[in-house]
Amino acid sequence: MAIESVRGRTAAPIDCPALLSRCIGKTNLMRRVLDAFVSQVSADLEQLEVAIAKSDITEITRLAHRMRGTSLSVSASEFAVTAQALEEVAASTSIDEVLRLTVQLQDEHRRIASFVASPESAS
Amino acid sequence: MLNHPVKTLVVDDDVVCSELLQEALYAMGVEEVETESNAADAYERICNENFRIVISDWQMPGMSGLELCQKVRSRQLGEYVYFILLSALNRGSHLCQGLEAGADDFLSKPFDPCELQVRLNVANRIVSLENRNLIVYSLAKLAESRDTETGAHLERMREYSRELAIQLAATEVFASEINSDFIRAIFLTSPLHDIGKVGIPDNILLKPGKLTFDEFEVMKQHTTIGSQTLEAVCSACPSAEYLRLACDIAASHHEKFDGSGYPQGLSGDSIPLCARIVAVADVYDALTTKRVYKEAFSHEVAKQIIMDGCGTHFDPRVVEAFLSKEASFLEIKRRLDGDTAPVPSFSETHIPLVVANALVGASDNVSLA
Repeated sequence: MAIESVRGRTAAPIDCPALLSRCIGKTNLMRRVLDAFVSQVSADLEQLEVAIAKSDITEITRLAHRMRGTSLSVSASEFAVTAQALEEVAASTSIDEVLRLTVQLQDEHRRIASFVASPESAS
Repeated sequence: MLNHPVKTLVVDDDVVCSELLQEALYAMGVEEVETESNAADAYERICNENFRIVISDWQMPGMSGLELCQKVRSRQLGEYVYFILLSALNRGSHLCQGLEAGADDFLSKPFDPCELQVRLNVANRIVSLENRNLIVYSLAKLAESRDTETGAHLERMREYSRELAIQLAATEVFASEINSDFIRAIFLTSPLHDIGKVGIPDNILLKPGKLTFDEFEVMKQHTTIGSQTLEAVCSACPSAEYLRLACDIAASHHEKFDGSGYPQGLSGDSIPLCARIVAVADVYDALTTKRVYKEAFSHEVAKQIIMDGCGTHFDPRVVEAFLSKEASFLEIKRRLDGDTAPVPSFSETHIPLVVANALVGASDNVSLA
């Protein structure tokens, strides 16, 4: 599975050059949207846990779709791949797979949050 | 870079994408870019504000971008809104669905700034093709050019009409009938009320004295000439719903609430609401400005005459709206009036009621002889 192939990589979780291009070269804008991304995804992951607890497939799919869209916008490709996988399996696979992907998203979110907080992301 | 302002609305519950788009649009020279996080609120703003381009996410909680697009397309009177659907969905499988809903174009998430720029240029080209305001106003001014004596009549009466519509929209009776699109459309089309006068001979249209009975019969034809002209345009272009409003106004702005008007002798609510509104605006302006056959009356005199016509000539609810908007009428008149000096107030001149009632037909220089 694609997600397995990227886990463990040491590459930056955000493709900063691509994001900077989308930010029309504005580093302050890039910083703002990264902060907003970390914050929004944090809230979405909390909502995802609630949705999983309720077995609310519609809400799981909606949140996964939204996280995929927002992660693509900030060029967080690994996160996007996992979110897409969750979106695709939410309605058709066991809850175990949903939980596994959710944990992966949470891990990747933590990695992105650390990256965003590090001096590396500002360069 | 774009060099003209077109108001653009970005609709997305994803604040990251929303901000990126907004900043990219600013960088591309779009001067007015606003954002909305849910489609229902966005629809309200599209109806109430002058957005010409909407870039909306497809999947949002509550109303989706697709539903928003369908609602925007179901508006009958508003200006054309160029609608771009934005989605991380697989484009191929949703293209037909989006186009069927009325979308003009698509953008994929994540958007590419170069692609956004190109698609925005297309949007601007399409939007600029619709110059309906300019065309309608040009037609009205052309018709008015045969009778230059009325000065800024069109400018004043369209503003009076808008004020009345705004006031009526705030009432329970008309709240569902008058929305923002109606208000904009009446402002746009009310200047076409006398377009049929292009078909009236000069010796009658420009006659300085009162019209004879026969001459007045000819003058009355301007309502049917105007409505038939606009009806032909409506038939040729059924999607231009705002012209239907223009047609109703041209046909019925001389109808009277009690059924004694022309050309059809319609009464009460069978007279289109837009025409009932324009009737008050038109008469007020005719009364308060100098014409070749009469001096200008003061606001107080005009107000009294309109009040005297309440329930007979005018819809009482429109008269009530007029009374609530007196200050606005005076401000519009002050702002757009030329050097017309009004005659003394009603109390000073004490115009007999029978004369006042006759003057209500002043917009057509009618003789009761």
